[in-house]
Amino acid sequence: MPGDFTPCGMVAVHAVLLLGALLMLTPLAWMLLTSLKSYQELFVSPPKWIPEKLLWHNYVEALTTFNFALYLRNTAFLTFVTIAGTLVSSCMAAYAFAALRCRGKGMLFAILISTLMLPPQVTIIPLFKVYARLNWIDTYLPLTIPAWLGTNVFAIFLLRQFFLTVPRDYCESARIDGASEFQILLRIFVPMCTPAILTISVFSFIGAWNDLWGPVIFLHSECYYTMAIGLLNFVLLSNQPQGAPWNLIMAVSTVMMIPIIIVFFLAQKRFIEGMSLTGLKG
Amino acid sequence: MRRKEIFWFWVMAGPATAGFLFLTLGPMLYSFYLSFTKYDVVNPPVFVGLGNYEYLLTRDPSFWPSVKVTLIFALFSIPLSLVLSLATAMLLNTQVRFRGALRTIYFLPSLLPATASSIIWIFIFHPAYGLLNQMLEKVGITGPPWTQSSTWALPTIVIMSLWGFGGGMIIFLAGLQGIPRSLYEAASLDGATRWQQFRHVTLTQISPILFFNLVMGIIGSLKVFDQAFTFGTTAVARLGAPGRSTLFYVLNMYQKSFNYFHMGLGSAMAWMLFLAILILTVINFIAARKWVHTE
Amino acid sequence: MNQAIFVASCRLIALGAAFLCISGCARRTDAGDVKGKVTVTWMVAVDFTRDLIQELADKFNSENPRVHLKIAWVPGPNYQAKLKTLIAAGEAPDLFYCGDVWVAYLMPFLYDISGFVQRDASELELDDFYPQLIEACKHNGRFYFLPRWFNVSLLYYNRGIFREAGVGMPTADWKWDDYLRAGEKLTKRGSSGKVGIWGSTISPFWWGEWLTLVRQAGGDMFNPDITRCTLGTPEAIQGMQFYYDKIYKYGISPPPGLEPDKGFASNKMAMEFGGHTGNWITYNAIPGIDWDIEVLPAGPRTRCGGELAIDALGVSLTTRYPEAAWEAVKFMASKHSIRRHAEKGYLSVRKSIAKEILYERAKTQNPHNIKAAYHALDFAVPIPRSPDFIELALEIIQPDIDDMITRGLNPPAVCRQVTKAADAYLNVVALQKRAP
Repeated sequence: MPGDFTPCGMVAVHAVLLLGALLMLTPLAWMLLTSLKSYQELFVSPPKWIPEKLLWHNYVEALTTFNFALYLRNTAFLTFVTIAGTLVSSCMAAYAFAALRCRGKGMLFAILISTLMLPPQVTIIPLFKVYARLNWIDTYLPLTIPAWLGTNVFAIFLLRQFFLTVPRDYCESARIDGASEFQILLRIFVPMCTPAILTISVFSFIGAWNDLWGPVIFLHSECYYTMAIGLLNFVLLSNQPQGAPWNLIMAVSTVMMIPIIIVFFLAQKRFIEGMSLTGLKG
Repeated sequence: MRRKEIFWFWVMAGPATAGFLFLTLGPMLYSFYLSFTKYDVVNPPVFVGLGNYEYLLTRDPSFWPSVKVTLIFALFSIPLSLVLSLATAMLLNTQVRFRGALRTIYFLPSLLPATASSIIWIFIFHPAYGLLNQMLEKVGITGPPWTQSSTWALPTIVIMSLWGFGGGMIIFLAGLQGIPRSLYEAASLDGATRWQQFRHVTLTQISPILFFNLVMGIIGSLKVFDQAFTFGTTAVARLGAPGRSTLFYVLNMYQKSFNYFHMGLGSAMAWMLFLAILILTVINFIAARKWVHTE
Repeated sequence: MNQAIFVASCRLIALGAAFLCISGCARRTDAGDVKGKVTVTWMVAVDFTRDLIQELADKFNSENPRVHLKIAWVPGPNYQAKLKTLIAAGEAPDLFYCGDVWVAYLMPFLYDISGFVQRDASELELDDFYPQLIEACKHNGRFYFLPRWFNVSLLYYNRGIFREAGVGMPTADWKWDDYLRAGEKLTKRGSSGKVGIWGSTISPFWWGEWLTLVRQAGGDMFNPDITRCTLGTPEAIQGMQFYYDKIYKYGISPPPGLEPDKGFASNKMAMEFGGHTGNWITYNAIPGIDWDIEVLPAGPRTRCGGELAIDALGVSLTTRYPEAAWEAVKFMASKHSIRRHAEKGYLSVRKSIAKEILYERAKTQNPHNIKAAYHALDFAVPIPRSPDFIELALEIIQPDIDDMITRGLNPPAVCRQVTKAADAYLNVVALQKRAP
């Protein structure tokens, strides 16, 4: 089997993989090291890897030059509301499709799933027009309301798959005991499918935290900025004649990446499971 | 009892259904209408028939270049990232040490925000003081002016995008782990060489996943926005620059709609994108029947 | 059963309330309104004048008993998009950034302030403004905005590099040839062929420099009523060829991407063609650079053609308080405001302040030849006043010129190609205008 290599072959496999890993890590290492350099060290040739002195102060300077503390708060808020909305709306919808009967259910589900491939770009102009009419432009509503209305079709799909594995009898006996549908969803389905729910949470976390398309189109005022546009704006404005302060830019980039990296390490298993499921179910 | 269940079904599925109607279906139909109008946000839409499509397809100097940029990107980035992710997955699927750590290292970049990671790459690719050209110079090669040249800007973005191949790799890895060992044993008993084993066992077994990654890759490359927007904003201070070499389809659509407020043209582009994705998906599924192995 | 429905409804309502709560948090709040005063909003693009603008607004607010000026910060790249969205929603800010580049585009939304200008002419001391700037603030003879500061195309030069190379300093009667010959003498190539010092900068990826050169050669981007692109004329081609030759024939300018990392401020660029007056303070902050300015060298036809960019403040057509908005415009163009701008390094739009601050400072600081900045006003030409200019210049024409400069394509062919594309676009615009 291709997995079985001679000892010599295994050395080669290790060498290739380690070299590859080194290449994958280089940009991150370069970002981190650059963020700790002094301005003068940025432009020396040949490039210097290790800064003379680790300037942690760069982070303070970068975060106070612009309102990055505010952008972080904004992004965290938006991400939180998006995750909450995605979970609530997709759990409800998945429950309906998995555990309740209704005529036309299969059809409705098929139509919903068919929008999985639909790029958000196709509907953006009419949505923009409607949001502009509602006076929602430059508020967080266009960025959060869709999550509460079950637009994360993948989440619905994934949760339904899990909900289908919950034995029917549990529901029936709960109903007989007088439990409401919400109680059944909350007390039986959700606890039995926590892995799926965690998976969805981490993926919608990534989606919301990294989002650029939504904020670029719907947010204008600086006080509503997210990290993504804040960072772009920072780079744009700091393109000074004396050369861009790449150390500060890299510091901001690092700050933007840290939450993702933390969540990744906390829930690595969920990520890998989620990705694997995507492929196997697709 | 039955009526109650129907009631609850609609309570539970209500938000998602409303979302579908008001945030997807309605806007799609409306954007179909808008694609036949001239609409600048300030004044009400004016019907212009097929004018927008005609202008885009025959006279707009940026439409075809942006299609070309997108296709060239797809042509290079998809095969490269498929090969990379499959190869890495296969190597990781051996008795390798530090497997968990290596998997983490390969996977992590694909989750990082495209904005920040593009900016790191733009810094590394800076023609004069970027890390890459300085390293090349050390070994006696004068690197090209990556980000500042109409010729090299798109290859730069292709390389940037390859950094995120880890997502596909994880999917392949899951697939590889699902291949029964007995298949390989049977093949090697039949005297199959390693290459034949790869072709007839590995590739056949993971063909659904290969196919899935391919479809996702194609759709993903038609939708490229974040990297292109970041590149245009920070590396050259004009979207799509240098020249139109990084004017990806969606970036062009964004530019027309939200910078110059040609919402009619933008809607027409959105609909053509939708049709392209629809057709590609259908073709893919037809093709898949032919060569994808299913149990 | 009824009870279950009741509980469920309650939960739905709670959910809805939570929803509204979130929406409430996300809504714009009109904080900053002041009782007893009329509030006018000025939408400003965030840049490095932020502190100055805030300071001036605070001063205005403490001095003016009737008007409160509120600043809404918007990041620069979003400015026009945000403005248009707000206009579409009927919520245009009372005051907005204007400037000559955008005036034609913004014309339908601008308030004609001619009446106010005439009424308060003596208070404003209209004669104190440089007449060329006042002219540029008008459109068809009417006033739509007043200036805060301006940028004008100049030739910047590094005296140190000139001295070392033994090349005579630029003068006000330089022509293209003088510029070229000096550039060639100043460009220093090392043994490996790597350039150590470049003769002159070149500015790629926008129209600033090549349009100037095209105009100096006697050409232009469009015919006067902007119905036809004229970049295909022999004069225009000559200007474009010169732009191209700076890199590919004479080798005095670096191809894009190969310029020293800090440009003119690196002390490795002998001259800067164009350049921004807002950078003066930066240049002066870098030790070891001895620099000065001169008017641009003259082209084969004329010296005229440089850019004149005015940063100005206009009043929205739909404002409810034109009088109050005007107060703010007037304050921002007042002597106090212009003085603060000049102190922060911007070029004064008023003669008195230029004399008081800039000419005084020039005695001890670079640039000593400050009068060149005002002399250059005679040679500056506003950009074509068409609402479609920005899109035409940046999206239709510029991309091909990028290709020309980065790939080394033939300038006459590129000129003909962009002419065709721009004419096609202008035809569409004309057709749309004719349509009912």
